[in-house]
Amino acid sequence: MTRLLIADDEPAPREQLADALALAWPEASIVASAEHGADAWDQWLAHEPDVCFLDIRMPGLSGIDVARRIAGRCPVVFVTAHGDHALQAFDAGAVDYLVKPLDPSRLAQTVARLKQTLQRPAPAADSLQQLLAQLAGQQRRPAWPDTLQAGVGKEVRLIRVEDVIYCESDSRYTRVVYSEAGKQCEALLRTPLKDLLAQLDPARFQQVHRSVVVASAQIASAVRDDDGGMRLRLRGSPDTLNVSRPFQGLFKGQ
Amino acid sequence: MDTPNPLAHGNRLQQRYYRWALPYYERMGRDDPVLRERVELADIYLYTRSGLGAWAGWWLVLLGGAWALQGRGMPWGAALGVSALVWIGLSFVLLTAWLAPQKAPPSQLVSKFLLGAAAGAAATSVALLALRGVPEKLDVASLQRALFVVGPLVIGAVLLLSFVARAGQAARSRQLARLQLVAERDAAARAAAEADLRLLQAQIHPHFVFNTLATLQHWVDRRDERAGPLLRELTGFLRRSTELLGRSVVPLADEAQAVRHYLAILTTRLDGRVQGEVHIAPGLEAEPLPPGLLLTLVENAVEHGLEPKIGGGRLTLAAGREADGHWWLRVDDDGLGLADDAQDDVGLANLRQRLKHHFGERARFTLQRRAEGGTRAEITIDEKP
Repeated sequence: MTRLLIADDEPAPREQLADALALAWPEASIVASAEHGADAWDQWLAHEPDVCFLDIRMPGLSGIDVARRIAGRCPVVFVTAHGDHALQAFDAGAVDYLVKPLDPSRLAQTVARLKQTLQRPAPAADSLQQLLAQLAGQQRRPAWPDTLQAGVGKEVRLIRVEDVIYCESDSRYTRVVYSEAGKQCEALLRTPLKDLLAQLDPARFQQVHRSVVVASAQIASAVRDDDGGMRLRLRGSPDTLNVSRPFQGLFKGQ
Repeated sequence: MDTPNPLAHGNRLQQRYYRWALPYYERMGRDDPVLRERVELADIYLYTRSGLGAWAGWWLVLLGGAWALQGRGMPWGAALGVSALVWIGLSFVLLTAWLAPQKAPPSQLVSKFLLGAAAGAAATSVALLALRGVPEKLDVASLQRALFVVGPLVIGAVLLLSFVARAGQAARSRQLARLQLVAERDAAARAAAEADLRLLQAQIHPHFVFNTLATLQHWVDRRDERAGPLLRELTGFLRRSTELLGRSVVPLADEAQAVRHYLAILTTRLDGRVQGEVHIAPGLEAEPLPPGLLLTLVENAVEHGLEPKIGGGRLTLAAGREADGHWWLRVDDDGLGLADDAQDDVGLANLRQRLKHHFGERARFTLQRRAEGGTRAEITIDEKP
């Protein structure tokens, strides 16, 4: 059984894709259906699906951002309306794309190609990452916020992003651990971590677990333990953080 | 050359000359197209009727020089030889100075010429000394006579040379300026055509239309009753926006109507996630605008502000007039806001150009972060003086 993730911020095209896939690829099942890019990435971490179908323009993270995070660990098919000419660069490449409204025969072609791809071991992802980086460069970046707003009792506390040590998911909230006047403090944000992730500059923050994002500058060392796990030691805090399997590749050592 | 060389289609002699010269022209053109053009122009002058006078004058000087030397007691053969040597040499130097002044600036050319003349005189003296031996005494009177003849000749040649070189340089820079003008004109025409094409593409809104069709397709497949109203809105939007195509001005009310359709479609597609409203103050409906201006602003706010934002968003298009007569258009969104290094993208650069073209200095366009979050795009237009 092939496990699929689909992501589109508009409900009707998302449902249409699900319907069309049910017809074109009966042996596959949709394990996750995401409403925006940050959601798609979170669901990818939760399910590690075999194939992703991503809309390009989505809130939070764009489809291209999500594909960059997936980093070739599963095939990605972009689903887009007309106008993203850059995608034609992928025509013959490892990444496929579909245009909306979907054409069933074109989708069947894509499915046939994907079935072949899934039987082969994944190709080197470097050239793909370069292409994706190029595509991401063409998108306009929103402003990264300087502060995060956290509710502590009745007061709203403004936390400077540069003081943040790490953020940890706490069901629907996010626990932010930060330093203030040399002390370690924490506060609760009403934003779920997966949505917060889209507001943090990936050049300064590194996700290391589905529920943990850490400021890159705070990482002191990564220690591998005997049963295949990995823990991070931090500069500004005595806490240690778990690195889940999809992120362990970030700390390979030189 | 803008026009083909007439020698190629001239009489037999001209054609023959052209066939012989063509490979040389081409070799020259590879290094220096301006030089090729000048050489061809010079050839066209020399090998057509207009050049007959020049040829006649050239031979006259050659023969006249020989005649004068013969008159001073030189045998005819030697006189012709000396005259030809001097005159052909001078002609070559002048021709080079005219055709390729950039290879040697005039002052350098003159000093080279003087140096060459001095070297030639020294060599001749040495040769004479070797052949005839050292003269017993210096004949000052005959030396003076020779200097009287040679001096003015050298000075004349130097003046002529520097004059020709300067004229050549001036002609060359005029030629370069003309070529540059032609290139600039071509580039400007191309840029204008590309801008028109981009504008046309933008006014068709392909991304928006196909995304809407994707939703419609699904609702039609599912027999969803929301398909009917959405199709009606899309029809209204396409009718309005295609009517705007190709017109140079449209009344504000028409544009606002296209924006209303656009927002209604977006709200339907996104299931209410994005909401929008339009407020046009009474009395502004007929104000003329370049077509597609408001749609560009609204589209920009949606694409960069609202679509990338997780959760709901709001957009307001408003137009109003101030007491002093100037009026404004605002598109406010509560989306993601501008990045600090936000650049005008194609749509907005185009918008600035069109505003300037349409209103001149009367219109201003600003894009700024709103204190309460999101972005405000504002156009203010001063009353006609």
